[in-house]
Amino acid sequence: MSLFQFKSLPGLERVQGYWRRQGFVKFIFVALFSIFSYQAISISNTHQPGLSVQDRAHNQANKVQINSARRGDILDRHGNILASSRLLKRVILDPMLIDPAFIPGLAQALNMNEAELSALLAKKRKIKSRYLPIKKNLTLTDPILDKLTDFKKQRVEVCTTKPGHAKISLLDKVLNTLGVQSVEGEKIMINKCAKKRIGQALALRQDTQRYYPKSASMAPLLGRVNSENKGGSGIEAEFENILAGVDGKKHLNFTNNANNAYFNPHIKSELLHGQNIELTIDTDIQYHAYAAIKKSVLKHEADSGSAIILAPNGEVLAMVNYPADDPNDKSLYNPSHYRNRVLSDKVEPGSTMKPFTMLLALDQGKITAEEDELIDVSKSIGHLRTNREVRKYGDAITVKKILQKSHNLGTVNVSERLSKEDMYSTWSKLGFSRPLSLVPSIENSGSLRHYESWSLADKRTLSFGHGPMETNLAQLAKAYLVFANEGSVMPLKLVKNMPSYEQSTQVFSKESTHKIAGLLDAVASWKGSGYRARIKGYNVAGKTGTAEMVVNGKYHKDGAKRTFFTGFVPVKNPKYIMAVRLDYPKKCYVYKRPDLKNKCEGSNSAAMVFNDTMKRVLTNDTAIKLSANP
Amino acid sequence: MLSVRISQLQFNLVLFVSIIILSLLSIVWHHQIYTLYKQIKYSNTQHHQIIALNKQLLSEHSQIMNGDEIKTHAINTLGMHEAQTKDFGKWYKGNLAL
Repeated sequence: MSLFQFKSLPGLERVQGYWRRQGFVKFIFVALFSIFSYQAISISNTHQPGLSVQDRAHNQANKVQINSARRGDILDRHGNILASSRLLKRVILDPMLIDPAFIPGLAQALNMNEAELSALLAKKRKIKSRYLPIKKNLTLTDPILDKLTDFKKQRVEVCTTKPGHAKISLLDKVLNTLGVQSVEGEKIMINKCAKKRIGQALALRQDTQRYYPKSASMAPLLGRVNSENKGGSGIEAEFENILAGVDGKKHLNFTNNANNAYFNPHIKSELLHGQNIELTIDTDIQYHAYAAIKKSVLKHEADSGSAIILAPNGEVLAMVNYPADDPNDKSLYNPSHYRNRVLSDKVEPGSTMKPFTMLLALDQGKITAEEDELIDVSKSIGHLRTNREVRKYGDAITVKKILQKSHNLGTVNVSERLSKEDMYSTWSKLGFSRPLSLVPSIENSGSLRHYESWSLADKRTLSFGHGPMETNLAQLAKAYLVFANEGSVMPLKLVKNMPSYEQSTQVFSKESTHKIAGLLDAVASWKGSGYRARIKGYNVAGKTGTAEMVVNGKYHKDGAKRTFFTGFVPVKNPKYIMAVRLDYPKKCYVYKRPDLKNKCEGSNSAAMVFNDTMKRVLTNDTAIKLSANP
Repeated sequence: MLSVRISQLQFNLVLFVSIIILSLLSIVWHHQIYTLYKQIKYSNTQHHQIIALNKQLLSEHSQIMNGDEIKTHAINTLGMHEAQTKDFGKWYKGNLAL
């Protein structure tokens, strides 16, 4: 038995004129079918420019939605932003849609002159352009944006004038319709006024821009992004994969199920925002170092200058270079101003290596470095001749004096007591010629020739930082970490939370490093070569260095020099280790006569950078107490 | 078994009304989904804007805390330039140990 029982409906018997009616219905049906078919064909093929209706429908039903990944920020050790991607707004006008009635309000919202805006719009209208970017790079807090948002909501009375006919009477209209007469109203200009919003004529678009709040002081270290928003140099390029992230791609298909298209789309690639990178850099220290190196390069007319400051645990607190460009100014780009000379240049470090020769000799018991021990400097050794200048401190001098006066012959005399193997092994342990892995793509690890290939002269020159070795400034600063870590050298670190696979290496004994640190204190004293590095109220230790510049494998014909100073403060439990390098300083002055020129050396150029920087850093560091006997 | 006697016309009417109601409802449901989707998109945009604004403010803070700006402000606005001999008056002759 069926569920529903239909009753037979009355009136199903034939009606009058059934065939005629059926014919009429068929005709209507065929006519409608023909009209729709024609319409469907004509719409899809004939009347639509560009894509056919099917293609357009397919495109509308299938969308690929791309969500751009945010580039990660670069932060300093305190979480201050060093590089970040800013969202900026661009104001676009469509000159063909803007009615003159909008211009006064628009000009006011844009903080522009009304006449100036009218002229710009007229110029674009003349060439029928529909694109006028009137304001660019507006930050999200720019008051113009608020004014424009308000303006978009405002209704402005827009009056249009069109040619038309004057109204005629109803009778004339009826007679016109019946064709009895043909009366037209008088031709007049019809003025129509209505309140309108600016609508599509004003649009806001988004741009992203990489912004570097610390401008030039960080430029060679951070590098900058290129026009495609990809890291071009420095940290930006080195950590591109971490910073960039992955754009999200979704495929929305509305053909079958809109619900799925909206809320369960086919994901081609998952959106992954870029990660932040936290550096060990301290922006305050970085700024002080940058200001000091800039001042020195300009004062001494040096080609360039660079410096690095380390914490005792190997963290890089500052890494500065000058000259440097402001990365926010896109009109400036000089590749040499983005060169990180601290890591990229390998140089002969000069006398800054003498403390290590003394440390090795002291560790091996070849010297005692006591006040009663005298080193003979009365005889020439190799190419180092003895003369009145060399012997002005006496025929035999103490180790302290050798370091204090940066005595080459004295240092070579000590190195004669050391073996090549021991020197090579110690220099290797200190990290010379070994990669630091801070920014591997730009790093130059320097060189240290194997001791088997050394001549006697090589060994002698190596004792005072020349000959078979070249190093970058970061490696030199790293070697000085032995004074802050009781004889061990720590791996350097530039990125926080980045695991280091290198372990600390014990190079010298605790006692030896304490003793030599005490002697280096004398270098930065009134009687030492680094007297300009002294800081009132603090115990400072360090060593000056001057090396002739090697250009294209030869020493510079004009006697161009590099000057160095590497030091640490305080002498006991050092907190800051700083290495400074100036390339070819040309103007240096006598200390007591600042207007009198003198030949440039580490003492009258690079040591001053150390002083300038550390003075400010120590003033801000209340944890370090003033010394009782400065 | 329960048997319901309804005419064919009534059945057609029920079908007709049901189809219309379902059609209308499907339009409403689709619109609701679309509105929800739009709201999600709008919320995402707002979220993005807030993050961008936060970043911008942090960048501005970082820039203000830049040594260069502080130094310029200190010298130009606050007049905190280094003491010079002329600052001590014409009677001052010697070096000042600060």
